[in-house]
Amino acid sequence: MIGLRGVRFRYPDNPEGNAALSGIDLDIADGAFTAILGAAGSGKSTLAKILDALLIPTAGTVSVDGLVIDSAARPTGELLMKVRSTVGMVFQNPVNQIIGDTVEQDVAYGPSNLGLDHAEIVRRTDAALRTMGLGELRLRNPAHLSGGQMQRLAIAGALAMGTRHIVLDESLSMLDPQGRDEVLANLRRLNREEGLGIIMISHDARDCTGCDRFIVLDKGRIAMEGCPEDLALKKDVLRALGVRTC
Amino acid sequence: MVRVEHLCFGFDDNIILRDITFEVKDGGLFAITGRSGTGKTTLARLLCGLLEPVSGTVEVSVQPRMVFQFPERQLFARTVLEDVMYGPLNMGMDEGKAREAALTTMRKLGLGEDLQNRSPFSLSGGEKRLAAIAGILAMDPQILVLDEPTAGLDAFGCDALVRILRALHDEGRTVIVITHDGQIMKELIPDGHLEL
Amino acid sequence: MLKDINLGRYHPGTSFLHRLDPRTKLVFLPVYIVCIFLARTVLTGIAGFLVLLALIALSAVPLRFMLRGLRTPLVVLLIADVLNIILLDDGLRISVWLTLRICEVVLASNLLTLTTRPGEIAAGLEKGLSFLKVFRVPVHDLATMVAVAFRFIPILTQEARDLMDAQTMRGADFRHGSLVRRAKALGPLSVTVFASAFRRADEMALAMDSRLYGFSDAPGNLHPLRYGREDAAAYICILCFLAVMVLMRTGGL
Repeated sequence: MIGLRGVRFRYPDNPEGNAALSGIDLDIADGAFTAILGAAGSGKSTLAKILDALLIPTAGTVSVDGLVIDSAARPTGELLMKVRSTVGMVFQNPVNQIIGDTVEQDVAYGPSNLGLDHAEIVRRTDAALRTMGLGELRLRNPAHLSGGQMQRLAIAGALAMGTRHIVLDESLSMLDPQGRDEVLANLRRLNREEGLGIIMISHDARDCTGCDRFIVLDKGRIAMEGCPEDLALKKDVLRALGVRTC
Repeated sequence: MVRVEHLCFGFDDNIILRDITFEVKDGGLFAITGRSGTGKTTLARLLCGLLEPVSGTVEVSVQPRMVFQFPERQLFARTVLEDVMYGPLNMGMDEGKAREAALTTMRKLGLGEDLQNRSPFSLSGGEKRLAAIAGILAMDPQILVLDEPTAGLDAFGCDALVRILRALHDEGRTVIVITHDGQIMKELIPDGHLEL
Repeated sequence: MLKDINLGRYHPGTSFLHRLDPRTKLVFLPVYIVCIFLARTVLTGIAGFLVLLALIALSAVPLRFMLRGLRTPLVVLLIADVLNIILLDDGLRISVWLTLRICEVVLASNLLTLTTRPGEIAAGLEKGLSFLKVFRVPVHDLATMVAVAFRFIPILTQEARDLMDAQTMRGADFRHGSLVRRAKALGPLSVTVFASAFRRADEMALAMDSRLYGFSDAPGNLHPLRYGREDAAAYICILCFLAVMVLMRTGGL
């Protein structure tokens, strides 16, 4: 369960300008597929980073499975470790998030950093590779994979850390339609079969087919909420908020 | 005019393009589509003379200019205005004319005066893309190639881009768009289409 | 020319050299460099070169990859050689040794990077230098920096080519025209290369943070480094080679 209360964020190098987030209240249930839509500059990426504790809110609180991060106290290393293990992140550029020399080393990166013992690292890596169908590619250089495969690799890396919620920050925007379908199909399967929570952040409504609900951000606030049917019914409203629709 | 006949390209044992033939008439709006890895960007580079064909011919009436997929690839100057002026200056225009060409182009694309003196690195994604297009457009190219111009753009960015592409087409320029965005294809209604 | 930058380009394989522990290879490189500088006579010079040839053969890496990184240093070396021969009394002898040694250094470094993945080099450095942790040296961070740098080199050289193309479209000319004109084109290119490198580094750092880089004092490894019999054999050979070269040098050979 992820809960945000009164979350605000202002970038330190822009103290006079508009805040990136101006008061977000949001609850995300376990196993839900939530879409967070919005135009460029609406605050989506900032919100993504706050969910993964890569940014600490300047006001308000974020709670992940009972662990609370608030603006007042600097979170401890242990707290960050727990939050980032529970919430995994896949970034927009498939290439720049690759860390390992081989597919299996990349998946093993998270578990290695957790200081787990060798047998556990091997077990988790094997399981994640199997779940994402990357077993045959395990010794391949990740730089030689297709965009869709790279994003699946990133998901595997998050799974190996034991994440229960995956945040995808515009992760489909650099893929071609086939790559996007491939990744979405995998995500929906993980959501259905493993109960993995999906938080899809995008400027394109087509990225959230199959979601349970969506919210739209505009200038740092929640401007609209809806269920999947609204994606088709409220196209004009979405377009006016800068979201691409079919 | 762009005419391609039996174009083949590859390196080592890897054949990327095999026997490609097509023609784009003067003032045409042409789309090149296909999955990633099918050689769309390679074909664009061949059209612009950045690569030499292994066999076959590429015939163009004037030097085509390409706007690359990632605007960060070409933006470098201290201000947006200086950046847009780079192309015209390289073409031999004097500074006054180059500035005029840059300002006119920026106005045409809707890049406001407030952006002129800002660093190109401080622009938003959509603005960067417009600045990159301005940099090429200021050189008054008769043949323009755009590589995935709408990739990653939100609804506002896409609308602006489609408007610009239509305007370029209306001006009589030859516009070649590489895209895997089916929706943009529907909005642009190209005269011709090549699927790789 | 950009294609020739070999550093960081791992060439997959299963040769003896590929199988060696990265620490063994990391020890070999500086020892070899010391040895070739100890060599002062034709005999020892040839010995050093033959050792290198043997290792190149053992690596099973095609010669064209091994030789690629040599073109640029050779161009510089030839200029230096010509100057040495003209200006110095002993110019020819100095040129031959200089050229030989620089080529050997480049080839030996290539051997390391062509047979060892960047991550393995980092793991080797980290485990090998872990004793420095006692002195508060950030060994893990340094090893990571080395690996990331190696990984970025092929990415950035590829990108530099794209960046050159983008500027060529704007009328910049890198190939023709006066030297001044070509040099001027490099200005915008270097800005974009640096900007690109910083942006990638930024994004990668964020990805590493999200996967908890630096959160454990003892990060695990999917394939922990372990010395094997082949490494023992290799170390013995390295020590013998060093001993022989030292003895020959002190013996005036």
